[in-house]
Amino acid sequence: MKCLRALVLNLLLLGAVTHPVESQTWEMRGNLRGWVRGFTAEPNAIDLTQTRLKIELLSGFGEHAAFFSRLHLIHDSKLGDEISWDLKQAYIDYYTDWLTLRFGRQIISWGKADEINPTDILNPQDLSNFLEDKIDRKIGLFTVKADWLLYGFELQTIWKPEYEMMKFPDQDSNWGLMSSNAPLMVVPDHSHLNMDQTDWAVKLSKTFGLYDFSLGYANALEYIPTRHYLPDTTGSSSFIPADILRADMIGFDFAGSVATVGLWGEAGYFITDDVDGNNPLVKNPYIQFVLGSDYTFPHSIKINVQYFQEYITKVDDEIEEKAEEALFSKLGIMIPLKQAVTTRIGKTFGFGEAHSIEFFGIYDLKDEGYMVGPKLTLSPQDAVKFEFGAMFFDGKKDVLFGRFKDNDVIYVKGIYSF
Amino acid sequence: MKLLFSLILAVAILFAPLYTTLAQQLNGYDIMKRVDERIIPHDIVADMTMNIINDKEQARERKVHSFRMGDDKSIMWFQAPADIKGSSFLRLSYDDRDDDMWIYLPAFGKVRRIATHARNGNFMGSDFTYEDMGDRKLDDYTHTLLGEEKLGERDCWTVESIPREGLATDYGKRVMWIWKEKYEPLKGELYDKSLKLRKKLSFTLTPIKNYWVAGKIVMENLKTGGRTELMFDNIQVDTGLKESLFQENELKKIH
Repeated sequence: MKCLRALVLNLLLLGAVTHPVESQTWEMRGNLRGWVRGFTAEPNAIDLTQTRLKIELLSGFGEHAAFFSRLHLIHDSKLGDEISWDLKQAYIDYYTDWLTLRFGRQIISWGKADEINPTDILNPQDLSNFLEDKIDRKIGLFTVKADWLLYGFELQTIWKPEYEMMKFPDQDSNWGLMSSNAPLMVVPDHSHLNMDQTDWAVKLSKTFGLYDFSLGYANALEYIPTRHYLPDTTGSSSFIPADILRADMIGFDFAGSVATVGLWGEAGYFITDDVDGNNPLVKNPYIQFVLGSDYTFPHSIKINVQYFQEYITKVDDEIEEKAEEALFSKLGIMIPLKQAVTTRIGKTFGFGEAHSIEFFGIYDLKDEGYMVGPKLTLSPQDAVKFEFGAMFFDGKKDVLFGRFKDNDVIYVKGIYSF
Repeated sequence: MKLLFSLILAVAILFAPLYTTLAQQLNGYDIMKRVDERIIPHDIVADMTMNIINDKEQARERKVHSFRMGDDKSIMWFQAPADIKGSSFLRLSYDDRDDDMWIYLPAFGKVRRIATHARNGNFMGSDFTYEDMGDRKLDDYTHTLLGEEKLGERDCWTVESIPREGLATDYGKRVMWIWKEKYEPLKGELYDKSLKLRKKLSFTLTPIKNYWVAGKIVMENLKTGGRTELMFDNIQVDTGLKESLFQENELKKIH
């Protein structure tokens, strides 16, 4: 019922303003996507059958204002007959020559790296379907963002009065990140914040020669709660009190070329609540960084390679290091990855280079696990795409990718864009 | 004495046109310099339709709303097909270094710089590479006047341009037909590194105000047998575009 209300609201909004209004233009676009995914291991269960309608409504009001909204309507057969809806973004833009003000529910992307972005912390993610595209995993939040053009620099200022936690897959599902016996954390409600609990961030960007640089700072609530104490070994506690802590991030990124090779880097220094490194439940301040490079070979073959590392500060010994590594990073990349290499190899082909074949992989150097995903995309005509792909996992048990080694999947997506 | 003076005067008058012609004889570099320096609109706004046609005459269409300032700056937003709608592209050219190019893809929510190595890739699946869409620096090439030729009613010079050693380009040479009267290119031939003819380029010019503006550009790909046609409609010149439009932050704006 709620999703129907949202759809009707969007259509009414479109209908109400399609009467001719001077210097106002409206547009609707989007896509319909069907996605079916199955496990390759016996008994070859269907993991996902999902239909999603993405609707974007945009409008320009003269030269200085615009409106954008994106709504997802999703039917997932595993969740019954209900159609869920997700207002991903809905914001107003106001432009002058030196200021762009964006006001409303939005998704903001920071960082230059591919897929693994330590500084991309302004929106939590919904990992309940973590094989979803990153932009669609992100949860839109009400934000006031201003981009200022000052003496050739771009200064971005962000104020975020809304908070949501990261969403994880059900502990009982095939994709659960924790044991189904793990006690649940009870977190105070953070949906109503006081002014002193809101997040804010700034970023300064500039192009120097062949390179784009950014330097950023954020003061933000972590997206994953922190326990007040460790669960006892008898398992007698089924609930553990927890809280959302605040952290600071100082971030930096760059992108450019050296000769004909593309080069980029991204790093974040996260100053957690445990500044002195004395609290075993709170991760010590840590650094995450990515260095990457890409090159296009003849016949449109593109390769990019990245190296990722997390470095935890204020560690006294190996025992403490192992304990710290076991703690999730609650800002930054927010998955338990310490040291990894990623690679993406792709080639476009066919008429208008409309088809492509791609391989993406992450190799966990620390825990010796991997996730690889080959994908073939065919576009028989404009606006129609079919994607055939797979995702394979392997590694030691109970580490990031190893826990999914029985979850190899193959999938098909059909997408019609309008 | 009088006779000698008259004889000298007669010879001078007889050969004066030859001296004038020699003084006005341009070489390839001079011609291409004048092409670079010709008077062009301060800015051009246009709707561009890109038809990508294969050897079987099947077509894919791309629609773009483009803004251009001089020869140095251009920015465009893709309007069709639906799966690339909202994508945008920015190019900035400089005298002393390679172009800067960025692309915004809504599917990633980020602006990405196009690295030098990617410039030989095809622009949106067309027969134009990113290099073809960019600006060529006069001094990156050695220009040689090959001769003269008439294209329709228009007298043209043919100028060969060979890239300097070490220049990152897929082409071994270009030959351009330059309309003498207006210093506008009308036709081109692009050769690969082994000097085999790979692409042919043609321009159809449209007079707008005091300018000659390309109303249609066709790139024929001799290797694939296909071609890409760029058609420009609703062309407006000297609209007073501001430089602030041609910046990275503009790519994510709604147009």
